[in-house]
Amino acid sequence: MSTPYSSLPPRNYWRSGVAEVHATQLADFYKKKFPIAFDDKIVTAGSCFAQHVANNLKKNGYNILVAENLPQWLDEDVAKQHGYGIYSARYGNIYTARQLLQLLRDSRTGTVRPEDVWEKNGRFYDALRPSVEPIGLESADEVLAHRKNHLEKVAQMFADVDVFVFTLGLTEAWQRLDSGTIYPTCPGVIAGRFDPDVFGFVNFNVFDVYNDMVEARKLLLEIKPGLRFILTVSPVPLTATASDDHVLVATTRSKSILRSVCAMLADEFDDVDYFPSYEIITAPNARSFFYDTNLRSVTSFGVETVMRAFFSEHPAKAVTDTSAATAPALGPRRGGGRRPPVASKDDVVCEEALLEAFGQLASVSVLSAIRTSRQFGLRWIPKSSRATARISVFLARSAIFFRQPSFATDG
Amino acid sequence: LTSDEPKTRKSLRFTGGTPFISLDAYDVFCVVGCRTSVNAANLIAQDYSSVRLGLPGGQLVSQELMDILLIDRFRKTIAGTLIDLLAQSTDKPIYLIPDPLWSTKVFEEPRGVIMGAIAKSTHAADYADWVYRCLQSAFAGKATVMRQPADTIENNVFTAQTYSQNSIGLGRRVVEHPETDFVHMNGAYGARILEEFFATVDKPAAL
Repeated sequence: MSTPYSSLPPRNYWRSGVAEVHATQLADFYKKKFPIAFDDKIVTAGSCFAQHVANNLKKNGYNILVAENLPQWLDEDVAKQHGYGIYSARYGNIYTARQLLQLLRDSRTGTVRPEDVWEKNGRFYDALRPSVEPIGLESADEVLAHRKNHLEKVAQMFADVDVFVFTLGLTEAWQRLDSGTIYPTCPGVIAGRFDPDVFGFVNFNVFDVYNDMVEARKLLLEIKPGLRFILTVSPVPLTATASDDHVLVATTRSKSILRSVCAMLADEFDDVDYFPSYEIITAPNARSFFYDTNLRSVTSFGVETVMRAFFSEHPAKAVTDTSAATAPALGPRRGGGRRPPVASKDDVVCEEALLEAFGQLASVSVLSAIRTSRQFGLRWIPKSSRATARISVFLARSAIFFRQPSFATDG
Repeated sequence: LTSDEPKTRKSLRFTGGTPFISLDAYDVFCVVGCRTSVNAANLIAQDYSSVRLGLPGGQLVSQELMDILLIDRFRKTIAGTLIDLLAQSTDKPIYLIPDPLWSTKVFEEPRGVIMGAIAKSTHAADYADWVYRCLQSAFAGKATVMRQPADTIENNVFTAQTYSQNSIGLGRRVVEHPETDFVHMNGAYGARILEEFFATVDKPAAL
């Protein structure tokens, strides 16, 4: 007798869909809900893992909208340290749905709050994106001016976007008790001072996250009708939990809620698609093999596997920088052993990982890990006698190339 | 040191007598270059600004980043390359005499728009300081940077127009620069710079 299960394809059965399939070979895994054109303007945001998505979309010819950038000739690492080139604008990591909603509301109204300026060692930080200025700014007023300028850019950006790719990362956050303002880091980690009378821990439940995402979608559609959404859940576990649960239990709670909300939104709205990167990385047939040795960071191999699934439905464009698009086909490793972790070329900026320091050395200066120190050497110039000195004067104007590695200049 | 490029070797022969720079033949090296106005104004200030500088650029960045942008530009000039190579090759003192700020005649040119906006900004007083500070940082430990004499600067942004009048080009042929030239300075400016230079080399310089 025939049942609804009789004619199902192999992908619908655990044994043929997962257990007997190598983690890199998951077939017919993701079906897009809508296409993305190469000229669609894409904005990316979310938790640390979202940076991988943004990098790969860019490399594969998709049109990532950039609202805040630095000149291309500047060193990429310097730009990244200052929050440029990571996402479409310098909002840093957006870990929670509430943080996203807050950014949208603030950018719409141009709201800046003086209490969102945190101080450390005489320097001032934007508490809502504390890692984008590694050494902070000179004054609280300057932080507020920067935030206002940033919000203007964000508002302009969302008025122009066609596809919004958002990676949900956490349900745990720290909030200001009087205003409910949500921060991406705990006060005192990068800057500021933790005061239990001012700040409190919050762990959002499924209703909170759902309502925030629905409200965020509504706001965005008011700004840009026709906008489409692609949601993902970060497979990166919590570095630490401030809840009473074991960190593994807290991680499972958090990711389950986020994954559930994605399903609810994708089921409810035609303009919301869910891309299952979380499932690829955490699948039992992967046996944690996409994680680095800390069992937390996703290796570049894992990212490549995820993005291959994405590009199977949203084909990559032939572009000059094909490092991601032309990644060699990856199959099961001979002997079945763990593939050695590969350091990701696209290092991600992740404030949450700074919490690790508190679990290791209480005396570690967390800030020093993300600051760039500059040392300028000194050299004593001896006194020269005008009468006897032979002075060589060179006019460095024409296009000269000396016998050392040289580069085109404008000198 | 010598150049890979024939034209430059020819130029070196014309200005220095030989197609190469003899490291043993001199006690002091003096590099003239680094287009301060071009780098600072045209490449950066038209797009970026900091609260302290208050430039017309639309995107606000930290003063630290403004410095990084300008220092990077200075290091990537021909003068910057030459200073690097000299510093790697010799322990003898190296001085940088930066190109002068553009003269106020730049107002008559399209590029003057940015410079004019800088001059009108409420924080223009910091402009020349910013350029000098970044030059110092760019070549710290490698060269002593000569500061453009304050009496040659107007509004902290321009070289006084008197120094750009009747300037001549000292190439194979002496050529008079056009009346509208705002980049090249005249003999009076050269004399002033030499005076400053010798005053500097006469005293130990703290980098």
